[in-house]
Amino acid sequence: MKKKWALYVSSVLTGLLFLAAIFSPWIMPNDPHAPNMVMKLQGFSVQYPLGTDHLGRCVLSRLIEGTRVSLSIAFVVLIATLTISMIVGLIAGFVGGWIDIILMRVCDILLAIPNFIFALVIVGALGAGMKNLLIALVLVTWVGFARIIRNMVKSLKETDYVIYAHVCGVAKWRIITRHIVPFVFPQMLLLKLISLGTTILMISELSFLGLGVTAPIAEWGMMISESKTYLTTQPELMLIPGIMISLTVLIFNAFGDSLRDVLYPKTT
Amino acid sequence: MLTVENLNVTLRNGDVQKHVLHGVSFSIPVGKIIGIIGESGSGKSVLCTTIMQLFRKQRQVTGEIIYKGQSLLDLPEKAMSKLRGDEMALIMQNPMAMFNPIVTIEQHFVETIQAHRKATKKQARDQAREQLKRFQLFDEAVLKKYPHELSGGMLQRIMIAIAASLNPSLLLADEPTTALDTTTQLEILKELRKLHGATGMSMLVVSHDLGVIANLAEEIIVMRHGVIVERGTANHILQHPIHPYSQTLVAARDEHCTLDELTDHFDGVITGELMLYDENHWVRMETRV
Amino acid sequence: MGQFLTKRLLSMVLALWGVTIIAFFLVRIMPGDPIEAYFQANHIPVTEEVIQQLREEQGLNESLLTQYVNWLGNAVQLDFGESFMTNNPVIEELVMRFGVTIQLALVSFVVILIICIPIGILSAVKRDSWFDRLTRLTVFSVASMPSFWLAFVLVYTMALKLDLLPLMGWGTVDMMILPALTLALGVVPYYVRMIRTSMIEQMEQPFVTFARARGIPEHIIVRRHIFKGTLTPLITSLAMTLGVLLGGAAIIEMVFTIPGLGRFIVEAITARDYYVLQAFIFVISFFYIVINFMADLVCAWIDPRIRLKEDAS
Repeated sequence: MKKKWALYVSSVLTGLLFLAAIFSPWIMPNDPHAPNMVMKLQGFSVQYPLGTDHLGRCVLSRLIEGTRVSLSIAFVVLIATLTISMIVGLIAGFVGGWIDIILMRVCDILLAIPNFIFALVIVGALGAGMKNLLIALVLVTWVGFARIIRNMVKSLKETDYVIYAHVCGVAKWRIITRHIVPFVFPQMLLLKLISLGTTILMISELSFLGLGVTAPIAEWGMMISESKTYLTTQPELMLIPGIMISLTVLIFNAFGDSLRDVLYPKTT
Repeated sequence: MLTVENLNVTLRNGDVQKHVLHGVSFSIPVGKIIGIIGESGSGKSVLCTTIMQLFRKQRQVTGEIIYKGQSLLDLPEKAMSKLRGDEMALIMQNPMAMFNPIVTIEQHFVETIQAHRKATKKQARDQAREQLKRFQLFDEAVLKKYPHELSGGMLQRIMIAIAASLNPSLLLADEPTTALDTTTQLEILKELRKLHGATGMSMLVVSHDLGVIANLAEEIIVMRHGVIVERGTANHILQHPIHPYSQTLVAARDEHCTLDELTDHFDGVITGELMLYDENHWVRMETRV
Repeated sequence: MGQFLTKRLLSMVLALWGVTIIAFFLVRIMPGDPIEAYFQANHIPVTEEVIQQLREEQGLNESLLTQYVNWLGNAVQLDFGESFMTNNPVIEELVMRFGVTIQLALVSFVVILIICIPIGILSAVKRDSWFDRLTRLTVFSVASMPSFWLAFVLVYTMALKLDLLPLMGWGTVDMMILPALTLALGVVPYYVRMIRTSMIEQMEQPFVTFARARGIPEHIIVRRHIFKGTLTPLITSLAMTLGVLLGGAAIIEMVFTIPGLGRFIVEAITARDYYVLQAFIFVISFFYIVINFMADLVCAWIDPRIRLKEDAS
């Protein structure tokens, strides 16, 4: 009962976020990029519902654009890592042998470098910018998932129905697509959805350091960074984007968790 | 010594409730071995854990359980905890799962002893060694081993040894032989009989294997779906079972079929009251007007 | 146990070697040339001749493999070249900053333990009580907050509004409190959740019932039979966290102006100081691998089944 309700609420909220992201140009009250020094650092008003920042840009509009930016990056990362880790995990788990050992050793070594630092270094070396941010995030996140997939595939290979299919002479390709993928894919998708929140946090952290999205594109982390100097005078400039990040991550986490609870309930 | 009166137990798991024991009444006299025979799902394991007052928060229990004149249902947890292990001990099936895999056998012994007696670690360890010898486990190295390094049979024997170490007055044995191979089963049964002979402790043995019950019990209780179906001295039940369900069970043993095969055919619903059929022989039947 | 040890040691050595490759090639594979990139990033106009000369000096005209071998040889002797930014030996710069980071990391680590373990255990033991629900709600909310933002919120409330703690800087004990707290809060949700779930899993094990059936006092059951079972995954995770903390929490260090490793690395990244970056990846991964190795040993000591599994495979 309670679980389904949680799922409904969180999926509605998630949907709202996505709608905001997709329709952002139309719901924004003002231009998020145009600086307007006359109007800088204004408080809340009808025209600027959440005030203006230090360059006179509408905070609300930038917040909305930030939704589009964060969500689209997170989404692309999700699809890219899903693809890469599925391929690597499937190959390593199914083929086994040398390929498996090598791939897993590579994963071990890559996992030996803490996530954030790795992303930091990659973006650092490549330079800031959305494209490089994407590359860094994908490179960092695929490793852990590939591992999980490989373990799943490995244990699936030992199940009776896969062995039976093998014995019946079903082509390996068929076994993978018919028996293994349908089992692994939904679970992985769920895991990835749950990790969306983490991805968004990383995006904001890197942008905060100036290593992510470049100005004048609005991104919540960057907005916080830009408002650092106004902590004492206009703390809401920092508070608002942060609340936005927290809410978004919270909604995504709630969505992922409730989806998991409904699909794979834990029986005590 | 132990009297159970009109015991009703309902299991609570989240929103789900399951009524597993209905109006169970029997008593265990001092020094006797009572056997309960029933299929899985008959509620016999729940009976054992309820007598020990385990899982209190997850169960709704009505009725009476009187041990040596004390009502166990009303006993606060701390006092009950003192009784457990010291006055009444429980051994369970699947001994491998009953031991903590990251704790040595010695620790298991010592903590049990130290929970109820004032003893130093060394004293407790010595006691443990004595106990092991009593149960034919002469290799002291066993103490330093971890559960997964030992066989099921050995672990079961160690469980009995630990249970007996504090000289309880009542031993509850829940499927003591189920997870073991046949030869080991016989050995365990022998140990239990020896223990009874040596100490005179009362025992409640619960099993789905009639052979086990026939081997040990002086009185037999037949249970199905949480209800007592028939009750009497071992001879009566084994030789002249009256209730059709009991007859099925005895037939299963005699004809060497599995219990499941025979009872699958038994669709009878258990109705009626327990009536005194013969001297110390109660059968559940419809009242005859 | 012997076999287990040797296997693990071998794995560790292999991983360490692998890391050197990544540290070296990661930086080289990046577009451009270290020298050029450095001058470009720092907007220093320079002639082609100077670039060529520097290339010769730094040995960048050799084959990649030779360069790697040379670098590796030097690295083992802790010679990572000189930082472009400061012209001091990289190793010196790193050591100077590392001390600060280690202090912060250790304090944060202790804070994490102090907060998470009691709360996690209590939450599990008093499952579904008001305490448990409140804990889960709080933890869920905190988990959604970005660490740097949390840092600012804490700074705003504690330092500015309430004037309880210093705003920034490094040196005294009270300067460590806010950054350590912020760092800790970053992972507190994860650990509280993990300990709680682990404990609940353990509580449902049959051997816990058997322990109760033997009349073992509840506090001993919680300690020896329930909590001890959660240690293995806990220690493994904590090792990883310690490794990450040692890598320097760049963001926290920037917010609180702490002269630590993280901040230095961000500066190095912006300045394209390749030698520093290489050394950094190498050193941090080294510690990470060693810490994980030691954690594995501790786990094997606690849980004898782990030793057995490795010997058998």
